[in-house]
Amino acid sequence: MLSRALLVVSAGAIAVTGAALVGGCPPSTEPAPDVDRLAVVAHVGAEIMEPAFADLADKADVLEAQTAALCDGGADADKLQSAQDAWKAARKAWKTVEGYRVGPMDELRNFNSIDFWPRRQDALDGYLAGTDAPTEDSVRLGGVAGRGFPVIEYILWHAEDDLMGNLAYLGEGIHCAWAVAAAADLSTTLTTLHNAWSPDDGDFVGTLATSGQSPDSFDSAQTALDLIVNDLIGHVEGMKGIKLNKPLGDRDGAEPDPCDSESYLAHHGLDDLRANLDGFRRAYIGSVDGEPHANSLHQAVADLSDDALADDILAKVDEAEAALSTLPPPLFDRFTDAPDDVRAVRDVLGELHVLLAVDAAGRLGVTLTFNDNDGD
Amino acid sequence: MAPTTSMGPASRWVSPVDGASLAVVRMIFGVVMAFGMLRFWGRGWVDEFFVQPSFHFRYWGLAWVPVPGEVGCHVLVWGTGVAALLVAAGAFTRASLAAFVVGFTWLELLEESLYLNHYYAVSLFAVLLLCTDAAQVWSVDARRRRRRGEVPGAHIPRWQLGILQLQLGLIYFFAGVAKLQPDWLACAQPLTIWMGRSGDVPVVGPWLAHPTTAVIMSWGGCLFDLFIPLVLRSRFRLWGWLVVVGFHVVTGSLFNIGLFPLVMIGLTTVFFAPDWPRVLQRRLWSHHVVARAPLTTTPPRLLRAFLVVFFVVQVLLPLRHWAYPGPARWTMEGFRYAWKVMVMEKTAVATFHVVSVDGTRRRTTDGDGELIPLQKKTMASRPEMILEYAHHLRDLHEAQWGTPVRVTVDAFAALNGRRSQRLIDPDVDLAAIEDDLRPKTWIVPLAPQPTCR
Repeated sequence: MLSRALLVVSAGAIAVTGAALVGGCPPSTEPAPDVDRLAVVAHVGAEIMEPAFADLADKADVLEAQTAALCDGGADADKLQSAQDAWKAARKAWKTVEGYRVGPMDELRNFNSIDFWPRRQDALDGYLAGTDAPTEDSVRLGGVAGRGFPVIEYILWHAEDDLMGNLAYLGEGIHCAWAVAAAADLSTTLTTLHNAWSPDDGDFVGTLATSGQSPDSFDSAQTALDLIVNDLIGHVEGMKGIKLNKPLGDRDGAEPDPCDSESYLAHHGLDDLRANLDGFRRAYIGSVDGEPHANSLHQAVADLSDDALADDILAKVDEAEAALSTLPPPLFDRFTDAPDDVRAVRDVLGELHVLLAVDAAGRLGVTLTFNDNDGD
Repeated sequence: MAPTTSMGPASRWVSPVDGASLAVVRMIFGVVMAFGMLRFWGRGWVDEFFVQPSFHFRYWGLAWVPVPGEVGCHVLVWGTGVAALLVAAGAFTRASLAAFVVGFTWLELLEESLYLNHYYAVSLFAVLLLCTDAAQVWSVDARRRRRRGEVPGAHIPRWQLGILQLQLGLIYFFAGVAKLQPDWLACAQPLTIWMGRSGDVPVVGPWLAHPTTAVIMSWGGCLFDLFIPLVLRSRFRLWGWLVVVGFHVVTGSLFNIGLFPLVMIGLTTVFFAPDWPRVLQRRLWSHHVVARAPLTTTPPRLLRAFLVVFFVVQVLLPLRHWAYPGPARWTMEGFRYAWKVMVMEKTAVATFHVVSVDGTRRRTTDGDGELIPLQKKTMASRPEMILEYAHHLRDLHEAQWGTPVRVTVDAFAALNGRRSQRLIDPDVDLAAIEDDLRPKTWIVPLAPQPTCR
């Protein structure tokens, strides 16, 4: 009897409460559209990421060829310029894909062999002081200290803008031969990486496109989306934290140390960051021409939001690019002579990070870390 | 425990009942907990959560709880697991339960970012089991007593089941009360966000992700939580329990809530008739059951006092958030130990700025290099943990720099689909804020904005 009375009273109470609450919160006038997460991850994989890795592999081939030409018969200014241009082109392509860590880059664990930073200076100098002619295999066996973009940069720009100094360094010992071997190793690594994406080989494009539908793929399209979005969030966080905050000295509470900044010998730091942002933008809007695609993260966020969040994210990317453009090159010098200008860029990236990690991640139902210790 | 015999008129709660259902609860509890500890160890969480972090978030007022070393943490987890197995077997039951309570609660208290409602519930149930004669039947202890020539009773006083029922009822009821708010009932949040993740589940995905499903589940979940204790106490208890099973199976498969469904499914069998396992046993095996002399007992005075205090606290803790301004799911004041289960999807980031008072030294950090991802994620959305980390940064840098520092934070959070906003006043020097239970005036109030989508 008591239970029945309690049930009646409670049911009445909840009905009244519910009605009051519904009245107090304007419900959506239309149901949320069905976001096709599978279409998004399939599109981003096939139309943005795989082509970008193909472009990177092609440019790494060019770098390998130009470096071999540089050292074939003695280095000269023209050949050095060609090799340096090839490095910059490949570097830009690499920085474009740097945030695309889902799948092959994560599984092959070859990030450090491509871009280990900061360089292990002592170890590298030790290698370069050797006398045995390096090969692609010996460079690979030597570990990350002797491999990747930063090593080739170190050899091609050892004296930074001093052409004669650079040529002199290349002429010493095994320096040029090491650059050739490192470029060949890099090309092999990046070709392997692209092959893992390519529909004609490892077909990670197909893996993404069959998320939730194939036992060899992800459990669900949401799982694949989680990984892609988390990688992009981590990418932006890395730009803010490691690439700017650390050289500023703010990350560790120390004096500015521009030598922590990437590509400083080649004076390519600003271009690195621009390529990073461009890579993010492409993955976010699902196109390379600047117009958001229907099957893009941008559209998914827009569909899941009543407000302008999706466009706000794009506007923040624009703002970050604009802030970057106010910094005259080289970025290396700006850490010490205009640190507040660099901080302004960092802060805009921080705001972009908030929009992604807090707002967009929430709308997309993306868990920022995976851990089934989470719960209630 | 040495029961006292009631000499007065037998009331319902001191009347003897079969101890079989309590024995089943004890066994389920012990097995699930042993599995839970094995799972915790097997997934590498001992190292990940206890050993690797160089900094641990501690519960307010409990920072004195010692953190064992690497070996100690592993021993603690294994020891707690073994204790759980002994509880299941009913061997040295009271000592095993005491060891389990100490071990499990100790582990809980090592790291605040690991807080889960069901971990807290486990500690409470273990304490309550410790107050009962859980090993009266079907236990190694009972067998040992028989071997010694004693005649162990097969009955327990009804209140021993009642305290477990009451605790379960409080959990469900307050979980239901926590859902009586606009986000849950009017906007179906956070279920709309969470269910949207299930869109590509084969066959049922489109229905799961449909917004109407979230609305139905929100209201259904709220009604379930509010009324299931009453249903389980009524003559419809079997149907109620089947609903409990269905509810927890569904939520367990859709959401990442660990062992919580298993715990609740197992413990809610305590609402069945006390002799249900024996009835089942007779039906399945036609086993002859020996009736033993029943005891009519009331708890000893000290235990009675303890249980009164225990349940008064259990009623007051979920209500304490009324002492604080703003919704608890935003401020987190009064949120824990209150069964506010699954009522928020809160994403957040926090960046700390440490500046020496003379302005010559500065550091900006989000905890990278010191905090593990779970700590960072959890801290960013919880003001009290932000304050704790700010104090850690203050102490660290004042020691390193040899000068007082200011610590401010850029903390942004988004609750249940709202746009992000500041969680903490960025101008407040957290280094100078006392960590106490008073309302945190430095929390930026949740801005009113429609949340429905």
